[in-house]
Amino acid sequence: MDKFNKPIIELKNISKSFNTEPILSNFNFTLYDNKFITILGPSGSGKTTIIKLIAGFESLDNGDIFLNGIKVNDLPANKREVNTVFQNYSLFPHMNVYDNIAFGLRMKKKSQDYIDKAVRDSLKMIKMEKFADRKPGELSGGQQQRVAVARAIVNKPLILLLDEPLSALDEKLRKEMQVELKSMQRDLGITFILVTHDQEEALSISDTVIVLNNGKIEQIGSPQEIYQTPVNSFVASFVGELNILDAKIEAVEENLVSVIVEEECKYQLENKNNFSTGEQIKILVRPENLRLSLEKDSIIPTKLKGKITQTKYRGALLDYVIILDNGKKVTATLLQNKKEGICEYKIGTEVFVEWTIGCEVLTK
Amino acid sequence: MMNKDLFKHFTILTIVAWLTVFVLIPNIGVVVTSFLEREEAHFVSFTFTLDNYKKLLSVMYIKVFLKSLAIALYVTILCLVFSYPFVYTISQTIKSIIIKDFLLILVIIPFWTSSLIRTYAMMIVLRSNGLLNNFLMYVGLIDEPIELLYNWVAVTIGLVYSLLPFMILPLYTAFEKLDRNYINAAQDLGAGKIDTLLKIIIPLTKSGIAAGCILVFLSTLGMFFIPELLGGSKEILVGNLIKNQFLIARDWPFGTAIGTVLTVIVVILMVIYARNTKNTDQLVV
Repeated sequence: MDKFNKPIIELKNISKSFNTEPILSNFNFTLYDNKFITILGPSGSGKTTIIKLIAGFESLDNGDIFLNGIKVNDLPANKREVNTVFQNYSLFPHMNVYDNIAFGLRMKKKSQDYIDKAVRDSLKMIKMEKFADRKPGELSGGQQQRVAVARAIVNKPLILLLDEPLSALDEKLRKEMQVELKSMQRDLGITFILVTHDQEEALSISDTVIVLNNGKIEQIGSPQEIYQTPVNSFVASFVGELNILDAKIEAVEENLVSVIVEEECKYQLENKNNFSTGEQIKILVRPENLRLSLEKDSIIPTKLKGKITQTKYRGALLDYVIILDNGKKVTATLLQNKKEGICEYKIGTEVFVEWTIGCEVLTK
Repeated sequence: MMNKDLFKHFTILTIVAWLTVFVLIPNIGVVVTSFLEREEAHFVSFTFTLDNYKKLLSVMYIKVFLKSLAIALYVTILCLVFSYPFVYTISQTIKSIIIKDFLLILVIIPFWTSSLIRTYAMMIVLRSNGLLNNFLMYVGLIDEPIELLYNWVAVTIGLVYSLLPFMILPLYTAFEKLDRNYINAAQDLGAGKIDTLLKIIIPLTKSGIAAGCILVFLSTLGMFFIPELLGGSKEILVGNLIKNQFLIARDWPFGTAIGTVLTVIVVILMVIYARNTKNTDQLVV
């Protein structure tokens, strides 16, 4: 019973500054179930600082950190039940793979038999049994990364912290490692907290994404929530391509608003944000939610007129860059349908733009 | 292309010439002289002999060699013991770069004064009514001056004092190269301060330890004025022995023979060191 009430990790109002410059302020986060958490943010947003604070490499200015219900503010790094996979792996160069993985267990004075079994098991898990005697310098980047993960999880931590561990790997390997990390997390049933600036990685790998900007949480949610219902334009543009349309509220009626988009056409949209008449707002629409057509609707103008100025071939997808009549640039991403050949708009073609109602997000 | 080649050849040639004139020829001269006979008028006569080396095999000279090696080892260990905590503190616990630089400059400043003058200054500190004795008497630790000068204690203090920077600077370089993340990683994996020091920091600064030890050890073997001034000519090292052959006994062939043997010993030690560190990475001096 007790276990369910105690959060695995609780970050209460934590702040941290370096040389009077605030890096993190009022960071709050509580987690009850073991999950794959990603802290996503641009460089300088303070995401690595969170990892360092949880691991105990940096001390808090304000706030409290609880691990399994116990306050760990003053607990040194070597006494905390968390392990870290470092950005450049930081495998001990003077030890071979076996000794690197065994290091944590030896520090905990486990029996020789226990250590040997645990190290062999984790070598098997990362499929590197044959590399036990190699020095880190003799391994490839991907192998080093695997050893770094094994070195951390062999200690059975409460939480595994991963500080941009995939950023040094090439595209293909990174994708593979993402899948591996995800399945490891599921198999081990412990919490992973991954720090990354790669939105694709964050969306594909995690159960919960924390979007961070300038040391403040912008949004916490599932990848779907973050992508489809971003709370503001920062989150929306950080997690993917985005079109921002200007609009003015013309009328408010119950839970609907009538807006004039780009001073051109009228839409009736859901009023999720309690806007009032006359307000200037922004409509955020993802490129894949834009639709193009050659004809304008006759009765109510619900389409924006523009001209195709650029096309970008992306394999299965095709990006169209459209300059609207008022000069605004929007991008539409359409699925290539070669057989029917319907999406073949040439540069210079006049098109009408609309979006799938409901996919938009309104912000101030 | 032509110009580039010319420059390359010129640079290589300059270095080769420099090494030939200042390293190769003098060393050949030393080795050759060590096999010649002594002559009053011209220092050497060109007759081949092994007498100089035979002479070295006497107990007296072997004792000097052994004593020199022992004191060099002793001084090296003392330097390491004093330097390591100092460098560790500077590079690991002091965050302010200004204080770091200031402390390092304090280490380097004595270099700007001739080491001979510093050794004389040392005599003033160590002599019977010198600073140290006066201080100890003032504090009340001793009642009458203790004999600090003209013995092995003085020689050791003098050598450690003047050679300390040769240990500190390579160590500092090694510590600066030490990635803070290794220490974080060790602590992350549960290592306490002592384990981190023994299992991570010391192995990863081994290159600095080795470089510092070699520099101090070799310098001690060749020192002659510190033992002479602080040891009062009673205590002699190999360096004094060589110096005496050239300046007092005027026996160049014997002096060069001692020099050659010393060089051979040093080379053997270096080879042993290189052999032992070959297999471990990161250990290039």
